[in-house]
Amino acid sequence: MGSLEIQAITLSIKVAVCSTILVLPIAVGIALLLSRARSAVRLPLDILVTLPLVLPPVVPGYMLLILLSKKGFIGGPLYNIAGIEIMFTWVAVVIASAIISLPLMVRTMEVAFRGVDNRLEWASRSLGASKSKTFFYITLPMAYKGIIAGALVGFTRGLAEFGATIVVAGNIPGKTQTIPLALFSAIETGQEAIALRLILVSVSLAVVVLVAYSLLVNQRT
Amino acid sequence: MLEIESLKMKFTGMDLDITAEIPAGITGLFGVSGSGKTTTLNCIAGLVRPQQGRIQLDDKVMYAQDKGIWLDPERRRIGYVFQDDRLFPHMSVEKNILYGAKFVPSRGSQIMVADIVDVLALDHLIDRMPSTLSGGERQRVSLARALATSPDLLLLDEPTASLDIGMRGAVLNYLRRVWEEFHIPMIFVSHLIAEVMALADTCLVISHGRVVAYGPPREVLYNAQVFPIASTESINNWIEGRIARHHLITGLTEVSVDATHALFVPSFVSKQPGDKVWVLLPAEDIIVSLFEQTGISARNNIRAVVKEIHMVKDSALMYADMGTSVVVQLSRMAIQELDIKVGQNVYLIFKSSSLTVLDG
Repeated sequence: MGSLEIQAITLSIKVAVCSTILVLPIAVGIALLLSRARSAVRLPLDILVTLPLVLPPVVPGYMLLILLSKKGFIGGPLYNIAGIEIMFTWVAVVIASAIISLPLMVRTMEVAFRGVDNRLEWASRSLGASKSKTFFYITLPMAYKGIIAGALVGFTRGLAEFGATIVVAGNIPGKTQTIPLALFSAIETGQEAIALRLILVSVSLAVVVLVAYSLLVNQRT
Repeated sequence: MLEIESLKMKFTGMDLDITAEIPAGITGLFGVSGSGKTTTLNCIAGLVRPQQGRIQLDDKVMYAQDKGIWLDPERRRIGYVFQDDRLFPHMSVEKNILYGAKFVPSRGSQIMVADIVDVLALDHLIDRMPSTLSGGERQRVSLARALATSPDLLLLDEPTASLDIGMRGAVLNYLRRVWEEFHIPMIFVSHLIAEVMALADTCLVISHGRVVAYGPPREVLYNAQVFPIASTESINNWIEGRIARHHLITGLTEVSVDATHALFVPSFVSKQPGDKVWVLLPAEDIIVSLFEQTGISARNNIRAVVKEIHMVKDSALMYADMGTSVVVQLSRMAIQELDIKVGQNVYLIFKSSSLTVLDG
């Protein structure tokens, strides 16, 4: 296996891990809000969070490009004040995969939070626990399986991210080239052996995570 | 003392307007389902915010709509035992019981968890998970969990409703022991007047969201507005007694009520002589005779003194003393024809098969 392939594999794992860690608290917050909010709040939030899942990934990719470029809303001040450039770095890869995996994580976690009987939360309040303590002692432990499952789903989606990444981070070997991008290049240039190896790695990683997911979901308590 | 002043709440199918002063002690909140009992408890506990009114426990204002005061449930120090026990399924019995104790600031009159476990006989269950417990055990753990927060008031929503009849006596006894040991005022909801009569010092009757009667349960029962509600289920006397002996030949068990009065009940060999039991005697199953009857098949034929007679609609309620006070439900006509007077001696006759024995 060539060094570029190994770099693509390590970058992919690094990106998926970072994006999962970045998204996890945000997804937990949004999922909790969606599971508890009134429908007037829920619907717009639900649509906003779900859009990256249903749109062609190039669309959120392009939106990120507008936001993060040197002239963008976020990228502009960052570049002018701190001299930091996000576009076409591995950080851009993380942000792209975070946006794409957020809806999947939120959906899985929302179901888990809905499964927590809110009568138990009221019981906790009547026993002297504040709202936040009730969340940490009752809601979170009872929904933890769904949260881990959501994180695993998000992780696999992060590994697979292609469309948004290529827009905001390009396909720079050794720098922003993840497994799917390296695979794309290999196919384009007719390097079948590399393509086959990368496919094998992709499938193996996905299988490992899906087995973990299945073990978790079917685990008895 | 719990003061509830013009507590108003309106939502689909419910129009609540409650004013009551509830003294420390055991108070029964009685009414049919849908009358507003649970909503009232939820307002007191702070789980539901009413639209108007004031709630004050001793000198602590929980809610005053005019002053914009609203205490969150966790700041009220009110224990709540829910009808559906609501034990935390991911915690052991011990962790459930200790759950609230870690949040409440310590103060002088703290209840020791060890005492609670002892009084409610939970010692052998402490390491179990809630899913492995029986209904009665779950209810006791739920009670222990609420007590462990050393509440200023304990609310119990139909604590016996989910239990089979055999377990009800035990739970009532535990509640009584809790009052004797820890002196925490209790309000318990029940749709059975008999339970209220067995346990409560004071009874508050709610009908269609309004308080219709208030006072000692025996007096409330013959209130013209309460009696029709109460008598939709049979009015049971809960009589406390001890197993005296088992009569193996007749298949009956003798339960002594006091030194001179005993009841013959269907064989109840799961208890030993000396053990405490509850005997349920339906008020309408009692026959009243002015003279001692011989040559009669009913096994219970007990001399009693008439203490009170109250006419309610077409019925009459007669309270008589047979070592313990019992209520007898008769027709108005029977009272008039027999010309029964207060202070008179009568004989109360009932079959042993009318009696149900429960664990004490």
